[in-house]
Amino acid sequence: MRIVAYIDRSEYALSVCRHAAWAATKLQLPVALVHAIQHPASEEGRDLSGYFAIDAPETVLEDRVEHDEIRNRVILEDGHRLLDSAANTVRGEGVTDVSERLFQGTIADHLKQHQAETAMVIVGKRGEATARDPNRLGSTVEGVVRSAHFPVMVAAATFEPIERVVIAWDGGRNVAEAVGFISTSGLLSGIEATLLHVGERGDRSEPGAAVIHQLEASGVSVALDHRSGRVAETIVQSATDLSAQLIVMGAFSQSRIRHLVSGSTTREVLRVAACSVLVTH
Amino acid sequence: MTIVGTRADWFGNIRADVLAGTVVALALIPEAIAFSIIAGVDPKIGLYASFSIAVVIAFAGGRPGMISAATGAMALLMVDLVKDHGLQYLFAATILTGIIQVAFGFAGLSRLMRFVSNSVMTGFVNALAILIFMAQLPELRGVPWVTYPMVLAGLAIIYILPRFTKLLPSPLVCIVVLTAISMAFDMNVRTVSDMGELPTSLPTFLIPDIPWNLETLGILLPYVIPLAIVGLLESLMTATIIDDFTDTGSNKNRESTGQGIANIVTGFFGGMAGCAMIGQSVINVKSGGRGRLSTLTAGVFLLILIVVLGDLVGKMPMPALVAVMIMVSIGTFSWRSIANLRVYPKTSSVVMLATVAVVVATHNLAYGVLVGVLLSGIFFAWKIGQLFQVTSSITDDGRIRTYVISGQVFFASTQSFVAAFDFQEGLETVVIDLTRAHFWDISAVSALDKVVLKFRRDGTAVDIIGMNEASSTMVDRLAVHDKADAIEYVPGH
Repeated sequence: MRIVAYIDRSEYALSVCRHAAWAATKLQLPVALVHAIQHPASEEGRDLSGYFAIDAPETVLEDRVEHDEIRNRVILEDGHRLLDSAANTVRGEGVTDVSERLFQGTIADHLKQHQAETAMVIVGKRGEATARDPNRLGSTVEGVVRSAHFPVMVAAATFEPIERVVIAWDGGRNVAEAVGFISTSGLLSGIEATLLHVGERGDRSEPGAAVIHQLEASGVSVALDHRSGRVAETIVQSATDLSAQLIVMGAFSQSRIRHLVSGSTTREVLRVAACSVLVTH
Repeated sequence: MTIVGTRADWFGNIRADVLAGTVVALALIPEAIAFSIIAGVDPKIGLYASFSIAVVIAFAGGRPGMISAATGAMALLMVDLVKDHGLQYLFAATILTGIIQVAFGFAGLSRLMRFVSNSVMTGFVNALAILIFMAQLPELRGVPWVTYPMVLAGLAIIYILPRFTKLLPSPLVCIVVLTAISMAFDMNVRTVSDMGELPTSLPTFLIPDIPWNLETLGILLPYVIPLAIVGLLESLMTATIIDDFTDTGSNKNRESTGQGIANIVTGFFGGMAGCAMIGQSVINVKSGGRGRLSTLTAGVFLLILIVVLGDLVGKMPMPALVAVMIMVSIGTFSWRSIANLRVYPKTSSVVMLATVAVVVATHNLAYGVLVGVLLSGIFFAWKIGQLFQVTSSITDDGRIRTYVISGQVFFASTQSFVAAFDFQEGLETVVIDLTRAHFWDISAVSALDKVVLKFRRDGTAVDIIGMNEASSTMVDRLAVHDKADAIEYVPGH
């Protein structure tokens, strides 16, 4: 098992590396740095219409191969250099077991192929494509969070040492999984966590004493907080009030129909929150 | 070795050979008549053929002690020819079959027998048994009721008698007893003389009365080629069995030419094509026959018996012959192969059953063997294709991956070969280690080409190492990926 960190050329790369190093230190797992690239489509070097020659298919193929080879070699070399510098960053944070992988395809493809050996995924909130628009959530991120079967940490633009955490408790199965993951992995040991319950005191979704015990047993110091209001807004506001560096929540737990009507809470939190978000399934 | 065999081949075993040959001659009579009836010709055609083939093969064959004569396998292949074109064409076909077999023998094609696997042989034998049995069914339909008790009585004699005495072949006793009974009570059953003419004299030399042109050849070839192949297959199979029985060797190419010469001579003397007989050969060997003399005795004594006892032979009741043929069919069938279906590998069983199915469907043993051989080839290729493994390792910086290929790469394994590579890794260099791989054919080479081109196209350098000698020569001759000049010839339009 390992922690898979997806990096690209956006401003999030450094933050992703440092989040990965933090998680690797906490979980005692190796880090795999992955840079997904897509080669541009083979452009026609010249007009080949009406092209007849002996063994034309073979010679044209050879020609194309030669052409693509030279161009893509440069792309690969750039990718490896990016990975090398990322690896240096992670090693600089004291993690020794770091591997680099250049992947030709989408992040979603890579995730699908490597699910079995992935313990946790770290990805920037926005990628190269959406980095400039602060109000949008990267489409890749949403896809990863939606399809992953393991915790996904969506990194904020800069990494700040994680000292205070908001755990958004909605009583659902996914957040219970999140608490389970935190307590068995020791990810948040020695950290102050606020167990946030959005709703009335005493209603059915309120976290029980067992949840608090479970967290405290793994070295987390827990404070319980009740707030009311719209769920996503309240969670983000709470994180801002407490100057938390991380929000922990379950993924897209609402029913499909409610999701269509009101939009997903998780998606909203990911979009608005200034800090990093750990989403579990 | 001389043309007709060594002294030892002929006179090493005189007494036992003459005795065994006599027993075989007696056992040959009912079968030769029955196979003539299967082929739809007069009994004398089969009897002349059996005499002629046995005598000629005694001199020309490559397996001393093996008995050849008119056989069911060959008779089954000539039914339509006789029905559609008549006897003269059968004689011509017999001669042409012989010529092809002689050519096979000189070309050394008996080596091809190695491609006929055990399962195909078993399928062949089982199919032959089924066809012989099916050929008896017309004799059991729409006949007087007395036929049925006679067939049963015949079978009883054939199976029970050997428990008390093996002095006389039990099929012969069956025929003698049933002939006596049917003559004594003047029973209303068909007899051999109802089926056609019996020989009254020695066979005479004749030239088939057919137009000697290409059209005739076109008619004959579809019959002659299966006849030649089946004749050789059964003869060489039988030779192998007799080799094992007697723990001696035989000359398979000489046997092939010998079968051919025997058929040529037989065609000119008014006989039908034949080949070696598994059952009779085993009877001969078990009766002590080892040398060429036993085969010659069988042939000569057969003719003497027929000419002398011609009238009596004509009085043989058909139910007796049917009983003998059912016995031949049951004895030919490999019953063990049914029990083995559960034990043997599925592929072997499929080959065996496919051979049987094709023969029963087409009534042509040659097609069955062809399908069986092709299937066993495909299954073998499929099995060997599994002997293929790819392991790989990558450096920590994700730049170099080494693939180690071991096993057999050929048309049946190229798909898994290509699938073993991960083309989504953006590698700087991929190393393909072929030290423990074998590249067998063009498919393997072009699969490697495909892999190399795919990697190169993504900008990954490919390093192929450790090609062993066999693979290396193939790749040097056939591959394009390492020939830079392949792209120099790109003329404009």
